[in-house]
Amino acid sequence: MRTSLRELPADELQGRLVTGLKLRIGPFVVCLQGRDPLLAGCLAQHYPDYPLAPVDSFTDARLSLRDQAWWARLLGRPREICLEDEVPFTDFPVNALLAHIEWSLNWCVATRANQYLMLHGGALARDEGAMIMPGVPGAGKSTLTAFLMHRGWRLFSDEFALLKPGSLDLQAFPRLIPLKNDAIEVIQAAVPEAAFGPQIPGTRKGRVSHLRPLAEHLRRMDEGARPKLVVFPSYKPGVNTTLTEMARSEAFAELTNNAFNYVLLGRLAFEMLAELTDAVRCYRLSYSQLDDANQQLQALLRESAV
Amino acid sequence: MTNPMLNCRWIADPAAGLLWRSWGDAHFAFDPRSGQTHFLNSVAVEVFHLLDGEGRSAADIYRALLERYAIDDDDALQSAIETSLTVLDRLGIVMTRPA
Repeated sequence: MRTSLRELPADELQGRLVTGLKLRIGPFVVCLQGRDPLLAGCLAQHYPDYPLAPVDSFTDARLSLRDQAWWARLLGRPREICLEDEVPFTDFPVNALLAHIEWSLNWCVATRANQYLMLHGGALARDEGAMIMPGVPGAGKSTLTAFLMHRGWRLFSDEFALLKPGSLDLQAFPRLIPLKNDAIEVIQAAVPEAAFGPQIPGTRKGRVSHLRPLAEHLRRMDEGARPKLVVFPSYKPGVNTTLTEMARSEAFAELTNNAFNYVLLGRLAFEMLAELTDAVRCYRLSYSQLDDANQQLQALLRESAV
Repeated sequence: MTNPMLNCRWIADPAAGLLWRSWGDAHFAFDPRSGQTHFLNSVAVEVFHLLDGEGRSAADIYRALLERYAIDDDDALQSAIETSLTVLDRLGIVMTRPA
């Protein structure tokens, strides 16, 4: 029995994509569908270690790659991704397929996965416990998450820290990490072995390249972890690494602003974030040196786990 | 007290059903009706919790707090109560009754 996409021969992958290929991405089953060989190539190259889901499993999100109408082709956006019910979601030039698969999936999760409290941030874990890194776009959380993933931290997420109601356990949701602009070269220099996708220029986020999660992290994506730290990172060129403990009230206020579905979950979200705030230590991190930030965060996690 | 709103009796909205969490002097009240979370200081919270039952006027609240903390007249406290009532009213978690 084949367990990961890597094990599918090219012709079988292409065949399954005609009716729909189901992949497990964290706790979700995503069905990808399309006859275009471009899709098969993209998945084989960038999602090889994701596990296959049984063909009869419930689908949390369905993405279909389609050809656009002739006039859209003339505008340089010849492909589109449709969600359920054939609703067009996004159209794009062929070189941007990977980015649009990821963004479509982000949208599906952000708008539907309300069985979790979703924080906008990175999440990683070591043996001592997990760390959540909430942050606004541009705070440097993706860059730091990408680096830490290659320094012994297990990737839970770069974008969605999923907390399970009824416990404070984090659910792993390891995805490709979209690095933007100069962060691409920063990680390429710091982690030469990192597996990058193509550079996609001119997106609404600038130049983007996706970093593949480590296979070992995908194999362990059913293992949860208990958060011990919440760290709000801020990349500032040239600064020394500083970690400043936050008042719990300040951290709580920021977390309530950071959760995608805080208002929707209401009372449950309020109680979960209050419990989380009581259970972890909260810090602001200013950094410019990735190695130094890693060492200080590791030390802090060890100390917090005692 | 010059604000006419302060001449009435104030009562906590019994339908609000607020959830509370506090860390030190920072207090958070979640209003399940609106889904909003309100950040309140200690004076506002004390004022709010005095407004159960029959409700109180601003002057009642002022006297109650002077007595609770065994302090003499305090203009700053009086002003803080007025501000708190205005804020609590704006948040929709207190109501007024004719004096």
